[in-house]
Amino acid sequence: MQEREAKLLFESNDLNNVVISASNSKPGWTINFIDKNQNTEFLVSKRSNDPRLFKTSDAALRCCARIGFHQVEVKV
Amino acid sequence: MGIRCFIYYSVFDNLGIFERLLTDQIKRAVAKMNERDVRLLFNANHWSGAIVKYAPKEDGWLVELQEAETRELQVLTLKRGKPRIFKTSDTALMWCRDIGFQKITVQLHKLHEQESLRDHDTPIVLLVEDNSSDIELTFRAIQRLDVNFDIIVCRDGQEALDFLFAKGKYSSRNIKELPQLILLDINLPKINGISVLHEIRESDITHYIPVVMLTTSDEESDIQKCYSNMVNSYVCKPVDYTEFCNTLKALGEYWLTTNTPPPVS
Repeated sequence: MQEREAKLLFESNDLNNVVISASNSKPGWTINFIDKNQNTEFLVSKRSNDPRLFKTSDAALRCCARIGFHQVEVKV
Repeated sequence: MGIRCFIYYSVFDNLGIFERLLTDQIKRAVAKMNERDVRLLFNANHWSGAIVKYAPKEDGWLVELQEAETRELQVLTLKRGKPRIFKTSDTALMWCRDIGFQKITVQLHKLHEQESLRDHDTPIVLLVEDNSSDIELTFRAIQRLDVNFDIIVCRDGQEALDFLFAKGKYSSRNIKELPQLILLDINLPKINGISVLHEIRESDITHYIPVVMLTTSDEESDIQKCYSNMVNSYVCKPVDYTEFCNTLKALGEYWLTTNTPPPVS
């Protein structure tokens, strides 16, 4: 799911929760959305379907704020 | 508030002894937590989680720790008692990780543009207070109310007047959007609370706004001056944390729900 799509789903109350996690494979942070059916989906970059990797948690948090979330869970 | 607990934890103590020493009474007396206390209590499974919050005035991030038993939140402070502010959320999160927390909640409310987030029908409470700990305590106490409102914090008398009359950094604010309640301290930097109250009562715009003095001063001259300037209520801040919370709750309930605010001109 790309950022724009996530924003639309958030506005239609389809996204319940968001979790930012430290990536296991590369240094960085990924964003995982949990929808109302408890399905999870990564935020992906525009260029590929790979999970979008943020260099800092600040950048990931700002992205969540842009989407509209007021509260985020972070797994460190 | 103001009660400082020193916990001596020798290498011979085990966690059981430490837990027994830390009675409920002591736990309640500690409204603020420095890093050393947090670490010790984490090892004793005292915390159920950590919350990282954006602090707009400091333009940084603070950490709150939730007690497992009471669900009460404690602010992480420096040794002197001031809230510890992290420049970035990264550093705040890394601090939580180093303590041992694995899941941390981050509250982003204030990352959004305050104006765009604000529902313009939501009443405003203006808190004029320079002490960071008192601001945090007031926030926590007042947020327990079942009323939807926004709290605006001004750290000195000049800033409060700038906010009310849409001057200085608040010049783009809609001057007609007035607070439903002003909680005003007396001892403030730049312009003291009594002068701020005088200015509020002098102006046609702000004349009728309910003002509650919330102060540590119980001097008769201060009380006299405030009532001469038509203050609506004068409250001495209780020293005890629970009493402070109860007082603020009662104040908020009365002024924001029971009381009918003055009509908007």
